[in-house]
Amino acid sequence: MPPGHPNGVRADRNWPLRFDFTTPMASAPATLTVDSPEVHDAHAHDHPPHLQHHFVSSEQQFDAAKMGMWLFLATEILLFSGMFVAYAVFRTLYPATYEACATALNTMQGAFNTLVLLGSSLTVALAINAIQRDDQKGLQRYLLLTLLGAAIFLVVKYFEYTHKFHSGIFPGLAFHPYGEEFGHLATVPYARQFFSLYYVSTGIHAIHIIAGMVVLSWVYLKARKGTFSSSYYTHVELGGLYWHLVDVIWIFLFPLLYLIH
Amino acid sequence: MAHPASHSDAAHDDGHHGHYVAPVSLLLKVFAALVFFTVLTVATGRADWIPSALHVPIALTIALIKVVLVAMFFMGLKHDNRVNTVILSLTTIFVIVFLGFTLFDVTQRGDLGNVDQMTAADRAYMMHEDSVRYAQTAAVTAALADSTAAADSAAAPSAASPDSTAAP
Repeated sequence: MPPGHPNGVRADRNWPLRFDFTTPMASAPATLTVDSPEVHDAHAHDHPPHLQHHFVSSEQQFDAAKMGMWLFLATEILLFSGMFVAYAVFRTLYPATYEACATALNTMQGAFNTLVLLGSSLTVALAINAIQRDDQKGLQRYLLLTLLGAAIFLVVKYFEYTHKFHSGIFPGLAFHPYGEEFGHLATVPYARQFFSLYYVSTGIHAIHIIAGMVVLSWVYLKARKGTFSSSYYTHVELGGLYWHLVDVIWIFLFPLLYLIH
Repeated sequence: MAHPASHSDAAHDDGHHGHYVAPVSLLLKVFAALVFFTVLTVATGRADWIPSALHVPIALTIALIKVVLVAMFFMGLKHDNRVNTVILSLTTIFVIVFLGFTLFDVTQRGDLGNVDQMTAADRAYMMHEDSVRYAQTAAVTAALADSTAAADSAAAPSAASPDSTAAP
Protein backbone atom coordinates (compact mmCIF):
# COMPACT_ATOMS: atom_id res chain seq x y z
CA MET A 1 0.00 0.00 0.00
CA PRO A 2 1.63 3.28 -1.07
CA PRO A 3 2.12 5.99 1.59
CA GLY A 4 -0.62 8.57 1.75
CA HIS A 5 -3.14 6.11 0.39
CA PRO A 6 -4.74 4.64 3.50
CA ASN A 7 -7.20 2.51 1.58
CA GLY A 8 -4.80 1.53 -1.15
CA VAL A 9 -6.36 3.70 -3.85
CA ARG A 10 -3.95 3.91 -6.70
CA ALA A 11 -3.31 7.21 -8.45
CA ASP A 12 -4.07 5.73 -11.88
CA ARG A 13 -7.60 4.98 -10.78
CA ASN A 14 -8.25 8.68 -11.24
CA TRP A 15 -9.15 8.27 -14.88
CA PRO A 16 -9.27 10.41 -16.95
CA LEU A 17 -7.42 12.91 -14.79
CA ARG A 18 -3.89 12.08 -13.70
CA PHE A 19 -4.08 14.25 -10.61
CA ASP A 20 -3.83 12.35 -7.41
CA PHE A 21 -6.90 13.42 -5.52
CA THR A 22 -6.28 10.84 -2.86
CA THR A 23 -3.45 12.80 -1.24
CA PRO A 24 -4.29 14.56 2.04
CA MET A 25 -4.18 17.94 0.26
CA ALA A 26 -7.31 17.04 -1.64
CA SER A 27 -9.16 16.30 1.54
CA ALA A 28 -8.10 19.61 3.16
CA PRO A 29 -11.72 20.89 3.36
CA ALA A 30 -12.18 18.28 6.09
CA THR A 31 -10.65 20.81 8.51
CA LEU A 32 -13.75 22.94 8.03
CA THR A 33 -15.92 20.25 9.51
CA VAL A 34 -13.51 19.05 12.13
CA ASP A 35 -16.34 18.68 14.65
CA SER A 36 -17.78 15.85 12.67
CA PRO A 37 -16.16 12.57 13.65
CA GLU A 38 -16.93 11.21 10.21
CA VAL A 39 -14.45 13.49 8.46
CA HIS A 40 -11.65 13.44 11.00
CA ASP A 41 -9.93 10.94 8.81
CA ALA A 42 -11.17 11.40 5.29
CA HIS A 43 -10.29 7.82 4.44
CA ALA A 44 -11.78 6.14 7.43
CA HIS A 45 -14.95 5.46 5.47
CA ASP A 46 -15.39 2.77 2.91
CA HIS A 47 -15.79 3.75 -0.70
CA PRO A 48 -15.22 1.93 -3.97
CA PRO A 49 -11.67 2.33 -5.29
CA HIS A 50 -12.91 3.74 -8.62
CA LEU A 51 -14.74 6.63 -6.95
CA GLN A 52 -12.82 9.89 -7.28
CA HIS A 53 -13.03 12.24 -4.33
CA HIS A 54 -14.52 15.16 -6.20
CA PHE A 55 -17.67 13.13 -6.80
CA VAL A 56 -20.31 12.48 -4.18
CA SER A 57 -21.13 8.97 -5.33
CA SER A 58 -20.45 6.40 -8.02
CA GLU A 59 -23.82 7.32 -9.46
CA GLN A 60 -22.85 10.97 -9.80
CA GLN A 61 -19.43 10.11 -11.24
CA PHE A 62 -21.02 7.81 -13.82
CA ASP A 63 -23.70 10.35 -14.78
CA ALA A 64 -21.14 13.16 -15.13
CA ALA A 65 -18.97 11.05 -17.45
CA LYS A 66 -22.00 10.02 -19.47
CA MET A 67 -23.27 13.58 -19.84
CA GLY A 68 -19.81 14.63 -21.02
CA MET A 69 -19.97 11.87 -23.62
CA TRP A 70 -23.39 13.04 -24.79
CA LEU A 71 -22.06 16.59 -25.19
CA PHE A 72 -19.22 15.19 -27.30
CA LEU A 73 -21.73 13.21 -29.37
CA ALA A 74 -23.64 16.48 -29.92
CA THR A 75 -20.53 18.03 -31.50
CA GLU A 76 -20.13 14.90 -33.64
CA ILE A 77 -23.72 15.20 -34.89
CA LEU A 78 -23.08 18.85 -35.77
CA LEU A 79 -19.89 17.86 -37.63
CA PHE A 80 -21.84 15.43 -39.81
CA SER A 81 -24.75 17.87 -40.19
CA GLY A 82 -22.44 20.10 -42.27
CA MET A 83 -22.08 17.26 -44.77
CA PHE A 84 -25.81 16.53 -44.75
CA VAL A 85 -26.60 20.21 -45.45
CA ALA A 86 -24.08 20.26 -48.32
CA TYR A 87 -25.79 17.13 -49.64
CA ALA A 88 -29.27 18.69 -49.36
CA VAL A 89 -28.30 21.97 -51.03
CA PHE A 90 -26.49 20.22 -53.85
CA ARG A 91 -29.33 17.78 -54.40
CA THR A 92 -31.84 20.66 -54.50
CA LEU A 93 -29.77 22.39 -57.16
CA TYR A 94 -28.86 19.34 -59.31
CA PRO A 95 -31.35 16.49 -58.73
CA ALA A 96 -30.52 14.84 -62.07
CA THR A 97 -26.86 14.49 -61.07
CA TYR A 98 -27.88 12.50 -57.99
CA GLU A 99 -30.14 10.13 -59.92
CA ALA A 100 -27.45 9.47 -62.51
CA CYS A 101 -24.60 9.01 -60.02
CA ALA A 102 -26.43 6.91 -57.42
CA THR A 103 -26.54 4.04 -59.93
CA ALA A 104 -22.78 3.72 -59.40
CA LEU A 105 -23.30 2.86 -55.72
CA ASN A 106 -24.08 -0.74 -54.88
CA THR A 107 -27.30 -0.78 -52.82
CA MET A 108 -26.76 -4.35 -51.65
CA GLN A 109 -23.27 -3.63 -50.32
CA GLY A 110 -24.64 -0.56 -48.53
CA ALA A 111 -27.58 -2.53 -47.09
CA PHE A 112 -25.23 -5.33 -45.97
CA ASN A 113 -23.02 -2.79 -44.21
CA THR A 114 -26.09 -1.28 -42.54
CA LEU A 115 -27.02 -4.69 -41.13
CA VAL A 116 -23.40 -5.27 -40.01
CA LEU A 117 -23.38 -1.95 -38.12
CA LEU A 118 -26.82 -2.63 -36.59
CA GLY A 119 -25.53 -6.03 -35.49
CA SER A 120 -22.42 -4.52 -33.90
CA SER A 121 -24.65 -1.98 -32.13
CA LEU A 122 -26.57 -4.92 -30.72
CA THR A 123 -23.41 -6.70 -29.58
CA VAL A 124 -22.07 -3.58 -27.84
CA ALA A 125 -25.44 -3.21 -26.08
CA LEU A 126 -25.16 -6.89 -25.09
CA ALA A 127 -21.61 -6.23 -23.81
CA ILE A 128 -22.98 -3.57 -21.46
CA ASN A 129 -25.77 -5.91 -20.46
CA ALA A 130 -23.17 -8.62 -19.72
CA ILE A 131 -21.03 -6.45 -17.44
CA GLN A 132 -24.13 -5.15 -15.67
CA ARG A 133 -24.65 -8.81 -14.70
CA ASP A 134 -20.91 -9.16 -13.82
CA ASP A 135 -20.45 -11.52 -16.76
CA GLN A 136 -16.76 -10.90 -17.58
CA LYS A 137 -16.58 -13.56 -20.31
CA GLY A 138 -19.73 -12.23 -21.96
CA LEU A 139 -18.35 -8.69 -21.91
CA GLN A 140 -15.15 -9.77 -23.65
CA ARG A 141 -16.98 -11.96 -26.16
CA TYR A 142 -19.43 -9.22 -27.17
CA LEU A 143 -16.67 -6.60 -27.41
CA LEU A 144 -14.76 -8.91 -29.78
CA LEU A 145 -17.91 -9.48 -31.85
CA THR A 146 -18.39 -5.70 -32.08
CA LEU A 147 -14.81 -5.30 -33.30
CA LEU A 148 -15.44 -8.06 -35.83
CA GLY A 149 -18.48 -6.17 -37.14
CA ALA A 150 -16.40 -3.00 -37.48
CA ALA A 151 -13.73 -4.91 -39.40
CA ILE A 152 -16.30 -6.46 -41.77
CA PHE A 153 -17.73 -2.99 -42.42
CA LEU A 154 -14.29 -1.64 -43.31
CA VAL A 155 -13.51 -4.61 -45.59
CA VAL A 156 -16.76 -4.04 -47.55
CA LYS A 157 -15.94 -0.32 -47.70
CA TYR A 158 -12.47 -1.18 -49.02
CA PHE A 159 -13.94 -3.23 -51.87
CA GLU A 160 -16.46 -0.47 -52.63
CA TYR A 161 -13.75 2.19 -52.83
CA THR A 162 -11.22 0.16 -54.87
CA HIS A 163 -13.93 -0.93 -57.33
CA LYS A 164 -14.55 2.77 -58.05
CA PHE A 165 -10.86 3.67 -58.10
CA HIS A 166 -10.28 1.04 -60.82
CA SER A 167 -12.68 2.93 -63.09
CA GLY A 168 -11.20 6.34 -62.36
CA ILE A 169 -13.84 7.46 -59.86
CA PHE A 170 -11.65 9.46 -57.51
CA PRO A 171 -12.60 12.40 -55.33
CA GLY A 172 -11.91 15.91 -56.54
CA LEU A 173 -9.80 16.81 -59.56
CA ALA A 174 -8.63 13.20 -60.04
CA PHE A 175 -12.19 12.26 -61.11
CA HIS A 176 -11.93 10.78 -64.62
CA PRO A 177 -14.37 7.88 -65.02
CA TYR A 178 -13.77 5.42 -67.85
CA GLY A 179 -14.69 1.88 -68.83
CA GLU A 180 -17.98 0.17 -69.59
CA GLU A 181 -19.47 0.35 -66.12
CA PHE A 182 -18.75 3.93 -65.10
CA GLY A 183 -17.60 5.61 -68.33
CA HIS A 184 -20.99 7.29 -68.89
CA LEU A 185 -20.47 9.31 -65.69
CA ALA A 186 -17.87 11.40 -67.51
CA THR A 187 -20.71 13.14 -69.36
CA VAL A 188 -22.93 13.69 -66.30
CA PRO A 189 -22.72 17.33 -65.21
CA TYR A 190 -21.43 17.81 -61.67
CA ALA A 191 -20.76 14.05 -61.22
CA ARG A 192 -17.35 14.98 -59.77
CA GLN A 193 -19.03 17.02 -57.03
CA PHE A 194 -21.39 14.15 -56.16
CA PHE A 195 -18.54 11.72 -55.74
CA SER A 196 -16.50 14.21 -53.74
CA LEU A 197 -19.46 14.45 -51.35
CA TYR A 198 -19.73 10.65 -51.30
CA TYR A 199 -16.05 10.17 -50.49
CA VAL A 200 -15.92 12.92 -47.86
CA SER A 201 -19.03 11.79 -45.97
CA THR A 202 -18.35 8.04 -46.11
CA GLY A 203 -14.61 8.65 -45.56
CA ILE A 204 -15.12 10.70 -42.41
CA HIS A 205 -17.60 8.06 -41.27
CA ALA A 206 -14.97 5.35 -41.92
CA ILE A 207 -12.46 7.35 -39.84
CA HIS A 208 -15.02 7.26 -37.03
CA ILE A 209 -15.29 3.48 -37.44
CA ILE A 210 -11.50 3.21 -37.06
CA ALA A 211 -11.57 5.52 -34.01
CA GLY A 212 -14.35 3.39 -32.55
CA MET A 213 -12.27 0.25 -33.11
CA VAL A 214 -9.32 1.84 -31.27
CA VAL A 215 -11.57 2.83 -28.36
CA LEU A 216 -13.30 -0.57 -28.15
CA SER A 217 -9.96 -2.44 -28.41
CA TRP A 218 -8.70 -0.39 -25.46
CA VAL A 219 -11.89 -1.16 -23.54
CA TYR A 220 -11.43 -4.85 -24.43
CA LEU A 221 -7.86 -4.86 -23.10
CA LYS A 222 -9.07 -3.26 -19.87
CA ALA A 223 -11.91 -5.78 -19.70
CA ARG A 224 -9.40 -8.64 -19.99
CA LYS A 225 -7.54 -7.24 -17.00
CA GLY A 226 -10.80 -7.42 -15.08
CA THR A 227 -11.11 -3.66 -14.61
CA PHE A 228 -14.87 -3.61 -14.91
CA SER A 229 -17.71 -4.88 -12.80
CA SER A 230 -21.43 -4.29 -12.43
CA SER A 231 -20.56 -1.35 -10.16
CA TYR A 232 -17.96 0.18 -12.49
CA TYR A 233 -18.19 0.00 -16.28
CA THR A 234 -18.04 3.64 -17.35
CA HIS A 235 -15.57 2.95 -20.20
CA VAL A 236 -17.78 0.25 -21.67
CA GLU A 237 -20.85 2.49 -21.50
CA LEU A 238 -19.12 5.50 -23.11
CA GLY A 239 -17.38 3.40 -25.79
CA GLY A 240 -20.77 1.87 -26.54
CA LEU A 241 -22.41 5.29 -26.85
CA TYR A 242 -19.73 6.34 -29.35
CA TRP A 243 -20.25 3.16 -31.33
CA HIS A 244 -24.03 3.67 -31.45
CA LEU A 245 -23.46 7.19 -32.78
CA VAL A 246 -21.33 5.83 -35.65
CA ASP A 247 -24.26 3.50 -36.38
CA VAL A 248 -26.77 6.37 -36.23
CA ILE A 249 -24.77 8.41 -38.77
CA TRP A 250 -24.70 5.45 -41.13
CA ILE A 251 -28.47 4.96 -40.71
CA PHE A 252 -28.85 8.39 -42.37
CA LEU A 253 -25.99 8.08 -44.86
CA PHE A 254 -27.16 4.77 -46.30
CA PRO A 255 -30.58 5.76 -47.71
CA LEU A 256 -29.42 9.23 -48.75
CA LEU A 257 -26.46 7.99 -50.79
CA TYR A 258 -27.36 4.46 -51.87
CA LEU A 259 -31.13 4.65 -52.30
CA ILE A 260 -31.63 7.58 -54.65
CA HIS A 261 -34.38 6.64 -57.04
CA MET B 1 -23.17 21.62 5.68
CA ALA B 2 -23.30 19.58 2.58
CA HIS B 3 -19.81 18.24 2.88
CA PRO B 4 -20.09 15.73 5.71
CA ALA B 5 -23.51 14.68 4.48
CA SER B 6 -22.15 13.98 1.04
CA HIS B 7 -19.26 12.03 2.45
CA SER B 8 -21.56 9.87 4.50
CA ASP B 9 -23.42 9.21 1.24
CA ALA B 10 -20.16 8.05 -0.25
CA ALA B 11 -19.55 5.92 2.83
CA HIS B 12 -22.69 3.95 2.05
CA ASP B 13 -21.85 3.79 -1.66
CA ASP B 14 -21.31 0.16 -2.45
CA GLY B 15 -20.80 1.19 -6.08
CA HIS B 16 -24.05 -0.37 -7.22
CA HIS B 17 -25.77 2.32 -9.19
CA GLY B 18 -29.15 0.75 -9.39
CA HIS B 19 -28.92 1.20 -13.17
CA TYR B 20 -31.67 -0.04 -15.35
CA VAL B 21 -30.47 -3.24 -17.01
CA ALA B 22 -32.06 -3.64 -20.42
CA PRO B 23 -33.16 -7.27 -20.78
CA VAL B 24 -31.51 -9.24 -23.57
CA SER B 25 -34.91 -10.09 -25.06
CA LEU B 26 -35.70 -6.37 -25.42
CA LEU B 27 -32.35 -5.70 -27.12
CA LEU B 28 -33.00 -8.56 -29.55
CA LYS B 29 -36.50 -7.24 -30.33
CA VAL B 30 -35.08 -3.77 -31.03
CA PHE B 31 -32.48 -5.32 -33.31
CA ALA B 32 -35.19 -7.25 -35.17
CA ALA B 33 -37.15 -4.01 -35.61
CA LEU B 34 -34.02 -2.26 -36.94
CA VAL B 35 -33.43 -5.06 -39.48
CA PHE B 36 -37.10 -4.85 -40.50
CA PHE B 37 -36.86 -1.09 -41.09
CA THR B 38 -33.62 -1.55 -43.08
CA VAL B 39 -35.35 -4.04 -45.38
CA LEU B 40 -38.34 -1.67 -45.58
CA THR B 41 -36.19 1.31 -46.58
CA VAL B 42 -34.49 -0.71 -49.34
CA ALA B 43 -37.88 -1.98 -50.58
CA THR B 44 -39.51 1.48 -50.62
CA GLY B 45 -36.40 3.02 -52.12
CA ARG B 46 -36.59 0.61 -55.06
CA ALA B 47 -40.37 0.67 -55.51
CA ASP B 48 -41.43 2.29 -58.77
CA TRP B 49 -45.04 2.81 -57.78
CA ILE B 50 -44.08 5.33 -55.11
CA PRO B 51 -43.97 8.90 -56.47
CA SER B 52 -40.35 10.03 -56.68
CA ALA B 53 -41.12 13.12 -54.60
CA LEU B 54 -41.97 10.85 -51.65
CA HIS B 55 -38.80 8.77 -51.73
CA VAL B 56 -36.67 11.11 -49.62
CA PRO B 57 -39.40 11.85 -47.03
CA ILE B 58 -40.11 8.10 -46.63
CA ALA B 59 -36.40 7.24 -46.34
CA LEU B 60 -35.84 10.00 -43.79
CA THR B 61 -38.89 8.99 -41.73
CA ILE B 62 -37.68 5.37 -41.58
CA ALA B 63 -34.16 6.54 -40.69
CA LEU B 64 -35.62 8.72 -37.93
CA ILE B 65 -37.60 5.77 -36.49
CA LYS B 66 -34.43 3.65 -36.52
CA VAL B 67 -32.42 6.38 -34.79
CA VAL B 68 -35.11 6.82 -32.12
CA LEU B 69 -35.00 3.05 -31.48
CA VAL B 70 -31.18 3.06 -31.21
CA ALA B 71 -31.16 6.15 -28.96
CA MET B 72 -33.96 4.97 -26.65
CA PHE B 73 -32.96 1.33 -26.16
CA PHE B 74 -29.36 0.76 -27.30
CA MET B 75 -28.11 4.10 -26.00
CA GLY B 76 -30.43 3.78 -23.02
CA LEU B 77 -32.04 7.22 -23.13
CA LYS B 78 -35.42 5.77 -22.13
CA HIS B 79 -34.21 4.93 -18.62
CA ASP B 80 -31.41 7.48 -18.41
CA ASN B 81 -31.00 10.85 -16.75
CA ARG B 82 -33.25 13.15 -18.76
CA VAL B 83 -30.51 15.73 -19.30
CA ASN B 84 -28.97 13.48 -21.98
CA THR B 85 -32.26 13.40 -23.89
CA VAL B 86 -32.33 17.20 -23.65
CA ILE B 87 -28.80 17.39 -25.12
CA LEU B 88 -29.73 15.13 -28.05
CA SER B 89 -33.02 16.99 -28.66
CA LEU B 90 -31.36 20.40 -28.64
CA THR B 91 -28.71 19.14 -31.06
CA THR B 92 -31.42 17.81 -33.36
CA ILE B 93 -33.25 21.15 -33.23
CA PHE B 94 -30.07 23.01 -34.19
CA VAL B 95 -29.41 20.61 -37.07
CA ILE B 96 -32.98 21.23 -38.31
CA VAL B 97 -32.44 25.01 -38.05
CA PHE B 98 -29.14 24.70 -39.95
CA LEU B 99 -30.66 22.53 -42.67
CA GLY B 100 -34.00 24.34 -42.85
CA PHE B 101 -32.72 27.89 -43.08
CA THR B 102 -30.03 26.97 -45.60
CA LEU B 103 -32.63 25.26 -47.80
CA PHE B 104 -35.04 28.23 -47.43
CA ASP B 105 -32.26 30.43 -48.78
CA VAL B 106 -31.31 28.10 -51.62
CA THR B 107 -34.87 27.37 -52.78
CA GLN B 108 -36.58 30.72 -52.08
CA ARG B 109 -33.81 33.00 -53.27
CA GLY B 110 -35.72 33.64 -56.50
CA ASP B 111 -34.40 35.17 -59.69
CA LEU B 112 -31.27 37.13 -59.02
CA GLY B 113 -30.89 38.09 -62.71
CA ASN B 114 -32.19 41.63 -62.24
CA VAL B 115 -29.98 42.31 -59.24
CA ASP B 116 -26.75 44.21 -59.59
CA GLN B 117 -24.13 41.52 -60.13
CA MET B 118 -21.36 43.82 -58.98
CA THR B 119 -20.16 43.39 -55.43
CA ALA B 120 -18.90 46.21 -53.26
CA ALA B 121 -15.40 44.89 -53.85
CA ASP B 122 -15.93 44.97 -57.63
CA ARG B 123 -17.14 48.54 -57.35
CA ALA B 124 -14.21 49.63 -55.21
CA TYR B 125 -11.81 48.01 -57.63
CA MET B 126 -13.55 49.67 -60.58
CA MET B 127 -13.34 53.06 -58.89
CA HIS B 128 -9.69 52.47 -58.14
CA GLU B 129 -9.07 51.57 -61.79
CA ASP B 130 -10.98 54.67 -62.87
CA SER B 131 -8.92 56.89 -60.66
CA VAL B 132 -5.71 55.32 -61.94
CA ARG B 133 -6.87 55.78 -65.53
CA TYR B 134 -7.90 59.36 -64.74
CA ALA B 135 -4.49 60.09 -63.26
CA GLN B 136 -2.77 58.53 -66.26
CA THR B 137 -4.94 60.54 -68.68
CA ALA B 138 -4.27 63.69 -66.73
CA ALA B 139 -0.54 63.02 -66.78
CA VAL B 140 -0.56 62.31 -70.54
CA THR B 141 -2.64 65.42 -71.20
CA ALA B 142 -0.27 67.51 -69.12
CA ALA B 143 2.76 66.02 -70.89
CA LEU B 144 1.15 66.63 -74.28
CA ALA B 145 0.32 70.19 -73.29
CA ASP B 146 3.90 70.70 -72.15
CA SER B 147 5.40 69.32 -75.36
CA THR B 148 2.98 71.33 -77.50
CA ALA B 149 3.91 74.43 -75.61
CA ALA B 150 7.61 73.63 -76.04
CA ALA B 151 7.15 72.99 -79.75
CA ASP B 152 5.18 76.19 -80.04
CA SER B 153 7.89 78.22 -78.35
CA ALA B 154 10.60 76.54 -80.47
CA ALA B 155 8.67 77.26 -83.64
CA ALA B 156 7.75 80.73 -82.45
CA PRO B 157 10.06 82.71 -84.80
CA SER B 158 8.82 81.00 -87.95
CA ALA B 159 5.31 80.92 -86.66
CA ALA B 160 5.44 84.65 -86.54
CA SER B 161 5.55 84.67 -90.37
CA PRO B 162 3.23 81.85 -91.57
CA ASP B 163 3.68 82.91 -95.14
CA SER B 164 7.35 81.87 -95.23
CA THR B 165 6.48 78.21 -94.42
CA ALA B 166 3.53 78.07 -96.75
CA ALA B 167 5.31 79.56 -99.74
CA PRO B 168 8.44 78.05 -101.25
